[in-house]
Amino acid sequence: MYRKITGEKLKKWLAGLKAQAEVLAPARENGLWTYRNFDRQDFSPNFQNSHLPPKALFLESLRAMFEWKSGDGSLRLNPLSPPDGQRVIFGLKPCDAKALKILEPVFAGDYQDVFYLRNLSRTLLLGQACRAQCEGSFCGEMGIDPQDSADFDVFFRETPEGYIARVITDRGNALTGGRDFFGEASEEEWNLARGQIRGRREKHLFDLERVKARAAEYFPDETFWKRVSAKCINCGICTYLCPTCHCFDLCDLQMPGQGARFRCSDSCAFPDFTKMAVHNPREEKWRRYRQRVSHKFNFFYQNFQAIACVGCGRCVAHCPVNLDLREVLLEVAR
Amino acid sequence: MADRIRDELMAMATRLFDEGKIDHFLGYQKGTVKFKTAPLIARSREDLEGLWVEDYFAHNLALYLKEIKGKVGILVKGCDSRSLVSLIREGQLKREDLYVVGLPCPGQIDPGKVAEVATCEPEELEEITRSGPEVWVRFKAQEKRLPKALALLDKCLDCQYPQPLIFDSLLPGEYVAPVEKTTPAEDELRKKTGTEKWSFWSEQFQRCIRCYACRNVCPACFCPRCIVEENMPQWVSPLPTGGDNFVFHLMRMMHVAGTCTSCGECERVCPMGIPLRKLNNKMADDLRELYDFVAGVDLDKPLPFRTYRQEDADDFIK
Repeated sequence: MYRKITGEKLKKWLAGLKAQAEVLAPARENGLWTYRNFDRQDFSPNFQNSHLPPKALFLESLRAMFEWKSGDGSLRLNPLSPPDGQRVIFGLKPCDAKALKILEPVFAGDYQDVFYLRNLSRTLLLGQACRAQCEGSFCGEMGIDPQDSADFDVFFRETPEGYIARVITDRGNALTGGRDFFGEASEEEWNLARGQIRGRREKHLFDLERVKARAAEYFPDETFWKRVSAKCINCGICTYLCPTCHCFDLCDLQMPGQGARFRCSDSCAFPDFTKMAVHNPREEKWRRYRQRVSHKFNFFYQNFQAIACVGCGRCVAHCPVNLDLREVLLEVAR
Repeated sequence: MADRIRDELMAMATRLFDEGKIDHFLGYQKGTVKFKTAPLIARSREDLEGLWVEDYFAHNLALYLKEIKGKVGILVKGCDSRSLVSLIREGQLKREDLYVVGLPCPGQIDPGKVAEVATCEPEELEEITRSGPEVWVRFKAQEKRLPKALALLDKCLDCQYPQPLIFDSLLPGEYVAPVEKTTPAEDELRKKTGTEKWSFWSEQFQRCIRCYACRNVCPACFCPRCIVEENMPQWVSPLPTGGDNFVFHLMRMMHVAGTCTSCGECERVCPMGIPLRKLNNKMADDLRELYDFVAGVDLDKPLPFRTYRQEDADDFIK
């Protein structure tokens, strides 16, 4: 089902939604793109994607899980309720929405993570088609169409007159159903709204099927991993800026008579990530880099039949030493 | 010119490998991201193939000397050479293990600044070319000429040491940074009250995601084990809260005082854009004023925090 709306009406519609939900939309803060409370800001044509992935809105980098109070020889645990309240995020990109879907089986498997799942169920995802290939990205190689996606409730393509929306879910249908803002649109209008992607590569850099087929084979090749990871500086940028990296640490904040347990982001790039009492299986950095790549393209695929990478390019564009994952994958696929 | 420098560098590094003078050579290669050069770590003359010379040599390659031991050939700009001096002075490196190749530094281009001055987005930049005292920039089918002073990294504008302070060989070219004798713009933050500074930095550190890129890229951060990773006892919580972030950054700054050469790598790599060089610079100014000490410029001068004199002021001890 397709609908259309003018740019001005879209803003009015989003502003109106604020009465029933928290509405987030792209905005620049301290020079970096992020999703911020919608305040009728203009949607800049320069917005390509958020600097930090929106996963932080679902798997928060700091999340209190429960707290305790002690005294008089007793200890009382108090579970903290997951976040509540409807939320609408406008302007999300197909890669990041795909990442949220990829993470779902991790948090909705045998162990149901109430925090992640509640954040998903309370949020309506409104996507927007990309206009340019982001620096460092390889979404095409990862099978993502930057101008279409079914991982949203509603997906918008911009036209000179406004937007054509593809309504995907019932929730999306209910949200855009009102006659005041949206009009009906045809499939033809939707198809015509597919625009050019600035800087799009004609040819893929590598064949994902070959990466999948050969990732396990490369795992024991110590020389290969040592070579490709040589310049890595073991910082957490690639993992913290990754929309699918989801490893976390649990940490207590203990004060006299009370305390709380938090979950916070952790990174397999850190030497202490696997440190145990007597042994660290990933003491050397080539083992840690191998883990990051293998987790995404090998282990995760074996466990969940999905590759834990969406090719957003954040790790490529922001690596302090230009350690380019695309080059590593290119070698694996060769 | 770049080609000539590259050819000479290539010949020099190849010879060093052939003569068995080095086991590694640290240089630059063409980056895969626009306007970003990448470090090149060569283990043999075959690895030198990608050696590259251009105008975006932001990296301070001295960082890799924390990890790469043995006989190392290294390409340095003036600022990077200060890290070498500082690390040798700190006993972290031996001068005789290094073969230092000096690069005549004309100041390094900051593509982010170029985009800002040319009024376009960084991703719209197509070409940046140096031409004497100017920089040519092409974007969205437009061309603009900018004075070099507007196109260089901030740290290059007030650079006092464009020529490497130690070297074994020098590449051709001219040392032309700083652009002209400029008085660096005074940091407005310094004029503010303690409360205002506190709120400024609280807000900055609130954004920190604790990726530790600032620490890991820093040549002066050479502790084999950082206190933030100690967990018995845990001095600093890994939770990215304002308070612990604040403790981490201030502790790191104080810890590198006297070793930090204000190379600005911490600020360059910070994914959250925290202006860490403001702290480096303040610290450097205090060291100059209180100890008459500038980090990384003198191989003989005593280090401020490693030296004790009978006549040192001790009025702070009550």
